[in-house]
Amino acid sequence: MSDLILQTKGLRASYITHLYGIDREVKVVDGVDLAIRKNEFFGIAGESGCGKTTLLKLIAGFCKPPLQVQAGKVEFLGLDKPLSLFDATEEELYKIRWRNISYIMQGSMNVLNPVRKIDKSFIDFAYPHMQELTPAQFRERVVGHLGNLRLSKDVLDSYPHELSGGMRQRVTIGLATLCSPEIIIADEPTTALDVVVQRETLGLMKRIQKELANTIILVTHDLAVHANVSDRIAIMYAGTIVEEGKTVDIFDHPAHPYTQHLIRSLPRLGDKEKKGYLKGAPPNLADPPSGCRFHPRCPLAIDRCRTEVPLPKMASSGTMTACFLAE
Amino acid sequence: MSETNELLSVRNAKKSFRLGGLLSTKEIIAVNEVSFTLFKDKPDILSIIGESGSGKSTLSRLILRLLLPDSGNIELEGKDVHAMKGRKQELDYMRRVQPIFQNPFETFNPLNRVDEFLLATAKNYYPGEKPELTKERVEMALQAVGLSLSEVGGRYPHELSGGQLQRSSVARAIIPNPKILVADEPVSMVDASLRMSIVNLFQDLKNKLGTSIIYITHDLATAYYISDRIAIIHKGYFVEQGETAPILTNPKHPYTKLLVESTLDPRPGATSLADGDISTGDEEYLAVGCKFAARCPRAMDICRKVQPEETIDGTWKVRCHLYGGNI
Repeated sequence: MSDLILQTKGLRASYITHLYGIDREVKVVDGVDLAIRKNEFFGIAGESGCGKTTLLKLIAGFCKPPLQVQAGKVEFLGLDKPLSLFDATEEELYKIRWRNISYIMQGSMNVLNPVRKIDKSFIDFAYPHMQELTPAQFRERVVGHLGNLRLSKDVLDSYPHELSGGMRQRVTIGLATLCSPEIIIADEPTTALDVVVQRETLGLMKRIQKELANTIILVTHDLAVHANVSDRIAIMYAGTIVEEGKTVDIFDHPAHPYTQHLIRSLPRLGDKEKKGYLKGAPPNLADPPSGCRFHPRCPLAIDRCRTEVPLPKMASSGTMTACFLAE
Repeated sequence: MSETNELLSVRNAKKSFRLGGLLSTKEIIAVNEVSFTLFKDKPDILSIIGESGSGKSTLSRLILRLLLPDSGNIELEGKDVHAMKGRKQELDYMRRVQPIFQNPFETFNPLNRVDEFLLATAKNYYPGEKPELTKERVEMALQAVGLSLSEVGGRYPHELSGGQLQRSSVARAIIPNPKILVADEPVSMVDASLRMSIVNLFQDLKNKLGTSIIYITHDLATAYYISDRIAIIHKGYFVEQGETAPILTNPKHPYTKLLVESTLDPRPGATSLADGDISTGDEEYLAVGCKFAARCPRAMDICRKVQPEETIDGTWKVRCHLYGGNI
């Protein structure tokens, strides 16, 4: 078997609506090929509205109207044979959810039910997937697991509002990791948190990933987060992956103009140098620009960029880059 | 009174809230003995930094007259802002101090056109002016933030990008030519790339219009990038304040050190991630003595008993028993 755990091939998906007789198609994910390995921290970065969250939904096998998959597939490779998530039955999907693929969601305050104690939340989320345990065994498992996350078992008898932001975030991580899944998907897990809780949360996620030797797919727009936790990063722009590679290579030798801009504009303590920013707005995905989707904002665009779509190729820095100018 | 050089002076401001139910006697002091001054002859960007729940927003509400302090006073050009009564004085105050809010999507009414809202704001501050003059004021405010009436004219908030919208919300705030802008977490909701454009805009406003800005955030990297002065707030107390660069490169207070260590360095693997209890909830508010003692690696006996006084150590103020001969 290969060392891959999940792959997408030529994935293309749109939000399609028919409102008041007007057809609208928003192409949010346009030709995404990802090969995510076992035992890695994989990062996906991009601006808001670039399709990151939609891509995550597809990776998790959630595809409900108005979202429609037009081409390509997503395969989960953690079972005996590859499971194509869009062809799988509801039963097959139910089996792998939470057990094999789980989620850490954004905003821990909104994830936990405010009128249920934490132990009830664990029963709501995780117990249906662990039916082989008796309730007492389940509770014992939860207590042990929380101990590993440095939470005392008193937490189980608390309501979410009684916990601090950092503790709540640890509870949601606890929920997602209870079944030791092969893949944990984290959508902006630290975006609403302050720096201290952020550092603590990222440290915890990194430790868990090492202990379980599984895969965490982390989505955030904040490249400073990726720099410190991700092993590999994919940079997404307007529904396409523009660059993908090892974190060190991407940060040291970004090959795509968009990546170069993102990395140059990062503020850092001890650095007062004037930072530029990208002019213009991200494209409207209902009517994306022709050719390379980045060309209207690209400072280096040439004629070819306006008409032809660049395909990813290996740049000299070792990253896969979808740009005509990358060498 | 009018010859004072003090633009805004906050003296020993204190605001407490009661915790828990109606009969509870537990009280947290969200802002305690806070003093600082902005001067007329030198526009400043003052960053106020702290974790969530450290009293940052309460302080901004006190300055904006949305809350009444328990004791101490806040003076604008020599006049107590909380003694201002009546429509005329209030308007007079609002002309000089303006807020910028966290989420640009909530600043604007989704059912109103952005330009109409801006024109109505201008009419409010300059009643009875000719429509052409009102329009000119709005145009000037928009120009200052890099937009124009022709760009936002006739558009609804959802038709503008996040960046344009946050710029429009800054334009709204500078219509009456305020002397002070109070920006409470203006960039925590926006993307990394957009963040720099807003932060650069603040610097332009300071340099070109001479506006002082109180920049409230937990992001040390942008605070270092734009601010001249900085105040670190912990559980209601300013624990360290002075010039930004020396404080953030060589922090004295252990809490400031924790914040600086927790700021992610955007270079691969440059930050050591913590995995443990470095964050906390509101219980620190109830501590006797220094509120940070329970988390402080250098805490001494005295720290758990006596609240340290603010002393001057070197060129800036710090509130810690380790400094100023308090030991």
